[in-house]
Amino acid sequence: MAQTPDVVFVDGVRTPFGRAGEKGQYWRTRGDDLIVKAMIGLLERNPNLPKDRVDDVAIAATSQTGDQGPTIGRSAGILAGLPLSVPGYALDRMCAGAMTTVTTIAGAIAFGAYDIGIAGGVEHMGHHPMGQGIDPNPRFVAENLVAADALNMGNTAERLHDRFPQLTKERADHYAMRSQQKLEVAYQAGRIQPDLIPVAIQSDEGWGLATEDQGRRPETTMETLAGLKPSFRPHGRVTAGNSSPLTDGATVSLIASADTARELNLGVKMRMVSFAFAGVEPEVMGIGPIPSTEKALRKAGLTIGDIGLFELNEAFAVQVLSFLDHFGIDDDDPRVNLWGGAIAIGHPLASSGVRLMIQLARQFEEHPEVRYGLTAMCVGLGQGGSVIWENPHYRGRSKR
Amino acid sequence: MTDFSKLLALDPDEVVTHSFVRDIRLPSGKTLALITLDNGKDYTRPNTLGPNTLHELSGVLDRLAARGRRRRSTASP
Repeated sequence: MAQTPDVVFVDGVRTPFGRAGEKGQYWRTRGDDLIVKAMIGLLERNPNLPKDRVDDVAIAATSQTGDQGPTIGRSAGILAGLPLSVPGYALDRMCAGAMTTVTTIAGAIAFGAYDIGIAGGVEHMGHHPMGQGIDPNPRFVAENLVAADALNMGNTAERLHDRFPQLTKERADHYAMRSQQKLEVAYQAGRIQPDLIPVAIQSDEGWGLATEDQGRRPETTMETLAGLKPSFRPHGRVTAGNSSPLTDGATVSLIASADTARELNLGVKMRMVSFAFAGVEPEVMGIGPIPSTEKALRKAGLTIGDIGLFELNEAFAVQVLSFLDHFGIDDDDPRVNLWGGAIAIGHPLASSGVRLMIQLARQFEEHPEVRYGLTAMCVGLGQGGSVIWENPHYRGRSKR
Repeated sequence: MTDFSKLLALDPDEVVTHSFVRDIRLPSGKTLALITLDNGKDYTRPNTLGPNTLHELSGVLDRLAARGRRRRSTASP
């Protein structure tokens, strides 16, 4: 092979996200139907793509039982109307599931094995509560490998407050409030809706249509946040207000080699520059994106100063702040999560990675002065994932 | 009003497919009244359209048509 093919993000869509639980809009919707609806939406939006050209379908789910069960990449591909000749698989890296499907498909494209693939994730956290049905090896605790409560994400967030006293509850609450406000502004401007695939939903009042994210709280103020009780420990600082809510939702993307995108006349929204995953102590999993981003930057030959737009998954406000502090970025930096983040939108674990990419791709269109963007997230049991993207609309830095 | 009572009494065992209505907010800001037909059974017993089903649907259509006219006259969205 003459050279490594360029890998591009052709397009990405998602279902509106729903609150997990009986009051959630997807309580009576199957988990696999969420990813199937998203996938059908993606295929309809890209009619130039001959379905039999898809080399593989990689779909992530943290919980791979029940309605997210039978090799969901394969089963969802069949249900979405892909030819039976198109293979598929399921993947799990907890919160970074969808992000890992994108990098895994990208790796296969870069190697020359694939031309084009579908990558995404789904998590119906209402049907599959975190930690349900798992049986951690007793050696974790018996041999002091990992603290017993490290699988409780809220406790890992509390530890970040402990470790970095400058990360106060006030800063976390302020960050969370801004996330809600920024998302509302983006919604009012119609920036989020174009990439949402409506999903038919059933209720006692008949069938309806989910068209918007359900968990938004634009009216959030510092006062309401200050009044919330800590969720994970007495006198703690992590509350429902400065954490991402439990969420149902699915995301899916089309990843291709640049040559194939050109051949099939598909659009190109982003070019992949580099990616990295890294491990940290599970007890402080929220700092995971720091080493993964440093590694991805190193691989790309870039520095943090080259990144013009950040899409950081807001598992917890404190965890995003630890990242910003490390890289010397202000809490209110306008390059960070321009349209809000998971605190306001929701975080259906294995889906969120592609949600970050969908939003970064849209922002690239609006910001031709930005060349590079970063999608990054923390991962349960102590990991981080980062993907650096180049803006195909880049037209040189603006003279500001 | 036409009297359908004999027709409606025709089949006391009719599995009625109900006409549900839910409002959907469109991207334009306008409201779409979405009618869905559902007999409450699963895929093994598909919807069928008997006299009671059609009578209910007719009433729903009349109600929504009147609502649409009211909205137009008050010029509300």
